[in-house]
Amino acid sequence: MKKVLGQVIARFPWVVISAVFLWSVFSIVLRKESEPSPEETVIRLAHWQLEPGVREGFTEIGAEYEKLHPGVKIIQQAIPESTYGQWLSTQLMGGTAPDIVEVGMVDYSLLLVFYSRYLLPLSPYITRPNPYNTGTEWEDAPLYRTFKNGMIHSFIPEIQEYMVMPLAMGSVRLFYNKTLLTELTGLNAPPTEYRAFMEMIQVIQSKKMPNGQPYAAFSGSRYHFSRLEDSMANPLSYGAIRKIDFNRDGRFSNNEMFLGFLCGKIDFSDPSYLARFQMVEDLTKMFQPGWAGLSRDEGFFSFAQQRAVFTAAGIYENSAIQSQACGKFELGIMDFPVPNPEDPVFGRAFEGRRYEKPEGNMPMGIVRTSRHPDVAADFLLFLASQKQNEKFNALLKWIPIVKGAKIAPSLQVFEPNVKGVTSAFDPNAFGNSSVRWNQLYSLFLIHQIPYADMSREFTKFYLNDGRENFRKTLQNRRRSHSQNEVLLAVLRKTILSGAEDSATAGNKYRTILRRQIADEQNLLLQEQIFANPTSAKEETLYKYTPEALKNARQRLDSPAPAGRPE
Amino acid sequence: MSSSPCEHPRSSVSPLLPAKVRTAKSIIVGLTFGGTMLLFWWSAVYSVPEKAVPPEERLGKAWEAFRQIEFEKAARLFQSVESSTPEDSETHIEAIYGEASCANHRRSGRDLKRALALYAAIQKQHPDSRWASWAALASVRARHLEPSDQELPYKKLSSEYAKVYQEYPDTPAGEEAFLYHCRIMASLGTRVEASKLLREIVDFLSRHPAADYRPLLDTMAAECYHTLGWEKERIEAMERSIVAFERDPTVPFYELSSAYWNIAYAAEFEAGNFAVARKYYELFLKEFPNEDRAFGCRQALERIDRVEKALREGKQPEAQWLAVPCQ
Repeated sequence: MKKVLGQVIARFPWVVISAVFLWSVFSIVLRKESEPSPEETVIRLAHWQLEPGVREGFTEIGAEYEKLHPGVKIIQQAIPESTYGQWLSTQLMGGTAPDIVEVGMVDYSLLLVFYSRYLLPLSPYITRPNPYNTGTEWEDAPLYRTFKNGMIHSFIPEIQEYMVMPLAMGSVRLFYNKTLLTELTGLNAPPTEYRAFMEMIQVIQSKKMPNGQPYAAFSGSRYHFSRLEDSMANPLSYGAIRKIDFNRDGRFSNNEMFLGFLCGKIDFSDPSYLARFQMVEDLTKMFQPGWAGLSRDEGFFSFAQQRAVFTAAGIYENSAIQSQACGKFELGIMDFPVPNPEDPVFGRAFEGRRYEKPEGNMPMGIVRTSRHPDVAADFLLFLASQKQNEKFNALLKWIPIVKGAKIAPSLQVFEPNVKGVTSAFDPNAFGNSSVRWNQLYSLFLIHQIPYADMSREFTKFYLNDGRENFRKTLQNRRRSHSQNEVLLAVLRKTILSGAEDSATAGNKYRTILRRQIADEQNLLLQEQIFANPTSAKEETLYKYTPEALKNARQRLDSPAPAGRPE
Repeated sequence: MSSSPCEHPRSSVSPLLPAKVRTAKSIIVGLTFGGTMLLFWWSAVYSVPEKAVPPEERLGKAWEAFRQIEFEKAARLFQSVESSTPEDSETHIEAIYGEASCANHRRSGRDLKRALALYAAIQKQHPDSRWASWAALASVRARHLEPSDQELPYKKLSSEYAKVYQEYPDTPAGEEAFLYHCRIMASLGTRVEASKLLREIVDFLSRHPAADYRPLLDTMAAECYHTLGWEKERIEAMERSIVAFERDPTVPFYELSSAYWNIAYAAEFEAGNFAVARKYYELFLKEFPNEDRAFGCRQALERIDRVEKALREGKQPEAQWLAVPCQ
């Protein structure tokens, strides 16, 4: 025995090499076995959703589809988010991309190139009913009508085609450790009103852990903070729209904010902005020390370790947080608290909860190099059918995007709020202005610079260097017009050729032209304000002109029935 | 494992190799070179030359490359079509237009001079071609979209667009040029110019009653009425623009939400026609309940109720909504 052992030890390197060789042969054989046979139609699908439930969801729905379509095999590849953009670019450019890809994680300009070169338009499927909705209320409805968001965000205006099919919806909410909350405050659920919520936060912060360290109310990083900022502080800025909506379209744009500053219609002393930053200051005090320097994962630790009561997370993190809490503490989920209209600081600025755009998560596209584009599209239709979308999202614990697909009662809190207000503050534009803003705002967030100093410093920079940056922005916008001209030239050719699709091309042509004209109108307006800011200051936005009031009075006095169009 | 100082390094090429080995090496190198040359010759002879593909097919490929923003390839294909088609054929002229478009729209190495020269050549040498009017429009568009540090000479551009329309009044390119002319003048025109533009728009619509761009022209006419202070006519023109609006379910981007919002805003704040304002805020909420401006519509409806109530009671509306403090 000793002799044999000695011999083995003497030949140890050979033994290891042989073992590795045998293992590799075994692995290759196993892999070959699991590979689809040449007769099978293989549809590969790639996504970046590594959250619990997603892979299982695709596997289960894939298996269901394979059962329905013998000879088809669905294989998924889950690629980490951090490398997905690079991976996708390489695969698309190399012609080796899977049949279906989740589209994203790259700059929008690059995405547009991907759309036009590497992805197939899904427009042909949009107006047809989804065959997998047979037997449901959506049996005869065109596909786009079966989506909660009407697939409006799947339409890429620069390409004039529907390019992606989203599979779920999501939103961000507050997650809390119910067990710890009750233990520290005696409350069963957190208050939904802002002041009461902040009082509860102070109670939590006054309590100490067994090691003598205070509990943190919130666990998080800059990433988590931005979620609170978006949901709680930004809606307070909404009122500013009525001062700077120069084109009167009811929407805010960062160009309008700059022009508002330039012509003196608005500044950091505006009540909406004051309220927004006051709330930001309040919110930063709820986080654990050193939060601003933490990464997204590090920021979550305190919550997982029960050293903090709250965190802000998206629906896509729901499963992971649920499994962290499982057996350790009871988890609660709530919408963000809001101030009362009577609140002394925020009451006047608060006009409503934030608006959550129903964009749709997991936008899936089909690549041009797919050997079976029809099967790939059919699988996407299967995933987007009422029954399968409900099942798929139940596995993911996300919100279905298809109308009529039931949502788990525990997830109803995530239903996006489409009856709210948008933000009217965004200084992140125009090159160096963004950099300067981020420098100053970072200092403000960690209480290294007071609001007055930050606003003074930034305004100075914004109106000096920012002016030049804005001039360049206006010039660059002509470039996007030039890109539209490319599309117009191609469509023009199709129309003139009298080809089969010339009617559709004509429709698209007119749509793009309308956009060119509308953009030109906006651009001319902004150039005028930029060149002559003093005259813009005199403009009255969202205010009744004397003539309008006179007319309104006359109409009320006239015998025509009030409230009815004439 | 060190080698003996007497050993020759095995891998180096030694001049002391036997002659036979050296000959063999030369033969191998020669054969490899010869083989490579043969391969080049074979590929040159037997590969399908681009020109063997029919020009129409090449033209299609060129436009496809153009669509995919592969301007280098597109320009090469357009040029090959030009060189293989009769000079006065429509295919030839289309290829020149395509080549000019490549020079005009490429992101790096944009050659505006060449583009303008090619557009001019089409107009001069092929005035009867259907591409002549498009070339005329493209040459003005190219100057309009030219990256420039200077302020653009808008009024000059506007008259150039108007000239294209005058030269090609009954062509789609001429109509499009008229739209751009109107766009500039509606935004920048004085009261006198707004009045003139209104007459031009009326004249255009009488000549082209079935114009595809009627809604756009109505919108621009509405802007002119606003410049002139004729709010009633403005609202009427805005309402006309949505009646003729082309609805296409496959293009959701240009739905009517913005048109509804614009009419409602103008009717409420500038025309003082609360009935029309209500109608369009309500239509907005009915057709686009999940839009980001739906909140603003609800707010507006409440505001109109309050203002109307105040006016009925002979009071002033809340000061924050008044353009002039005492009205």
